Amino acid sequence: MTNDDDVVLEVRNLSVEYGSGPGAVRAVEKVSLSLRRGEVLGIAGESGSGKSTLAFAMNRLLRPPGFITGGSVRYRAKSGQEVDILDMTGEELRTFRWAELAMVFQSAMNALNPVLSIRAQLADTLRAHRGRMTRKEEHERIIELLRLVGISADRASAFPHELSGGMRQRAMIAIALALEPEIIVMDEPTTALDVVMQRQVLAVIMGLRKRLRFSVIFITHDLSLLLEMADRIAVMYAGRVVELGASSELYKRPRHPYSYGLLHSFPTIRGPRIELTGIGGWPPDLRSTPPGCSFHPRCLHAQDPCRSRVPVLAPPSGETARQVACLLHEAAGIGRVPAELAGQS
Amino acid sequence: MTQLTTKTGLQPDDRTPVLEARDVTRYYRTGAARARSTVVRAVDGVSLALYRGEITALVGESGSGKSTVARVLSQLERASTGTVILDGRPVRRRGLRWYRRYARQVQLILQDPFSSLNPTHRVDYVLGRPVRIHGYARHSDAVRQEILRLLEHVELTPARQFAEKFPHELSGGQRQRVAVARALAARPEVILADEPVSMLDVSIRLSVLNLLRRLVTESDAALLYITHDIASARYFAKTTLVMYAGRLAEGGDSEAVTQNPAHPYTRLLIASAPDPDRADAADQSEDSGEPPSLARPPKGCRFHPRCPHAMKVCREQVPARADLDSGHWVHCWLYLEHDNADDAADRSLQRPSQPGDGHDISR
Repeated sequence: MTNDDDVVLEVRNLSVEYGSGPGAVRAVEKVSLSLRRGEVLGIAGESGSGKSTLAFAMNRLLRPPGFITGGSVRYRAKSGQEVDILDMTGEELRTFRWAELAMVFQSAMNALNPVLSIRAQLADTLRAHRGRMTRKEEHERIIELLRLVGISADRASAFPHELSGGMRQRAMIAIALALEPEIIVMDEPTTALDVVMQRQVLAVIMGLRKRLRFSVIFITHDLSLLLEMADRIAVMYAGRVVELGASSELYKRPRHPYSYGLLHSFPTIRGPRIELTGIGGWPPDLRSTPPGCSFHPRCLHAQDPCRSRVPVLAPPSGETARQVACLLHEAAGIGRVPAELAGQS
Repeated sequence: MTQLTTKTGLQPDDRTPVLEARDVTRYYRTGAARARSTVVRAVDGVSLALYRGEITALVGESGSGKSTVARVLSQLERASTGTVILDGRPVRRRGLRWYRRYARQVQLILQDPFSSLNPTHRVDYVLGRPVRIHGYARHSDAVRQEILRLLEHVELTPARQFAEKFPHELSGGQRQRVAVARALAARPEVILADEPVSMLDVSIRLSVLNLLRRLVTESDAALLYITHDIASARYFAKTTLVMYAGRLAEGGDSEAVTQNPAHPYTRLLIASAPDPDRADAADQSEDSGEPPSLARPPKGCRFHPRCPHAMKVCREQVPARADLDSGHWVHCWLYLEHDNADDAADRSLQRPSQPGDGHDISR
C-alpha cells in the first residue's frame, strides 16, 4: 500500500543540540529519514537516543535550550507542493501544525487540559482551524471523531480525570485526527498503559490508519511493539540512526550489533526459553559520547577503527533496501562480518 | 545460547516456605466523613509461599494489588486480616526493634531507582548505613570493606569509584544495582522486588534480572518478582502467580501458566503481550474492557464482566481453587463442579487450549 517514491516527509541531516558552546549536548546528529505516504515508520531507541527530540524538532516544538543546528524537514502535500518546515514563519506553522502534522504525546493526563471537557477540547481544535462550522456540524463532527476511537457519545462531556488512562489516550488520538492530518507523530503513546489497554489502543490506531490512510511516525523504546506494527523501523543510538529497514527484515536479520542486541534483550512469551543477556555496559552519556562509533564500548565486535572512525549510514553489501551505520558492513570492510550479522540466515 | 532447564525440585507441599501469606487481605478506607467513606479492597484473600533459592513471579496490571502484597509482606503495612508467616512463625508486629529484625530478614527493592535513593548521599553512605545498622561491621575499615564487597557483588566495578558517586552521576541501571546492593547489605532471607526493571532501558533490563537470579542462587534467598510483564515472568521465575483485581487468578509452574494458561484473564494478558510473529496488530480490535473499581468490585468472580465465558454461577459466587495437573491451579468456575445445568455447553473449555488461540479471548 505504500509507494517508494511517494514521500510525504523527508528529513535530511537534521541536527539538534541542547545548550551552546563547548558544553552543548548533541541530542540528534545528522539524521536522515523519509516517511512514505500511508506508512508506519517506527523509531526505536532507549532513553537518551534522541528519538523524542527528533519528533519535537520535526514539528518545531523544541524549546530552548534545544536548538536545531542544521538540516531540513521537507513536507510534500497531496497537491505536490513542497515546503520546508524549518523555514516556516510563525503564522505558517500555526496553520500547518495539526492540520497536516498532528502529535500524540506520551502522557495524555498532561497533554489534555484538566478543566475542560473532552468535547470542549475537540471543539477548540475545530474552531481554531475550521472557523466556519455551525453548532450542529461541530457537534456531529465531535461525535464522529469520538466514535472513531471507540468512545461512546455520552462520554463527550467527561473531563479527563473521569476517564481511564486508555480512554484519555484515545481522546488524544481523536483530537489528533480532528483535522484529518496527513501525518501523526506518536511519542510513546502506549507506554503509560497496561498491556491489555495498550493492545486495544494500538488496535484503534492500526484500524484507523487502514481506513483513513494517514502516515504514522511511531516512537517507542519497545522494539517488540514496533516489529508488530511498523512497516519500517529506524533504530537510534546516541542521537544517530544506526539501522533502517523493513521491520520483518530487521527482525529476521538484524545487521547492526546494537539492533541484534536489542532483539535479544526481551524475553518472548512463545518459542523456546533461551538464555538472554541483553547488552553489556551502560547507555551512552551524551555529554561525552565516545569517539568513533558511539556504540563501540558496548559492542562485541568492536575493533580498532571503530574507536576513531564514525560509520556512515549506508546500504550494506548485497542489500539495497536497508541502511546500516557500522564499519563491519562498509565496502572497505574492517574484517569478516560475524555470522549473526551477515544477513543470510 | 543454552536452553534453560527448569529445576525439578520437590513439590511445594514437601518443603517449608521462608515467607508465607495466608488469606491476606488489605482494605483501605477512603473519603472523609465516616458515613460516606468507602472501603477499597486492594488485596482480598491472597495466599502465597516463597521458598529458599527460588524466584516466584507475581504478575498483574496496575491496580491489581500486587504492590500492596509486597507492602504487606515487608510489613510496611499491616494486613487487615490474614497472617504473614516468616520461618514458620506468624508475624506479630511489635515496635521498632522488632521491625529492624524483620527488615534484616525481608528486604524490599522498589521500582524507581531515581526516587528510592537519597540524592544528597553518596553510594558509600547509602550502603554503609544498613551494614552498620544490622551490625555486620562496626569499624569504618570493616564497613568500607563490606561496601566494596557489595558493589563488586552487583558488578559495579571498579567498586572504589562507584562508592564515591552520587545517585545523579549514575545511570538508571547502575542506580538499581545500588538499590539491589542496599537490599543485600542486610543479608536477607527474602527479597521482594517490586517492578525492579520496568523503569530501566530495554538493553539493561536483562542484565539486572540475570544479576538478581545469580544472587538468589548464591545466597539461597527467596525472591518475589512483581511485574506486569508476563513474558519476563516466564523467563525469570520458577513459579508464576497471576493477580487480578485484588485476588489471585491462577498459579503454577511458569512454563505451564504461560504456555497453557487456564484462566480467561491470563489468556487475555498473554494475547495482549507484544509478539513480533503476529501477522497483524489490528486483528484484535475487540474491546476487552477494563479492570473494575476495587471500591465496588463485581460480585462473584471479579473477572466476569470482561470474561467471554461468564456463566450464571460466575456472577454469583467466588470461584474456589481448582487444581489442574502438577501444581498448576486456577480460580475459575470453568474448572469446577457447579449446579447450573444450562452452563454445560461452556465446559468444553476444560481442555487447556493453546495460548495462541486469540479467538478464545476475543470471542
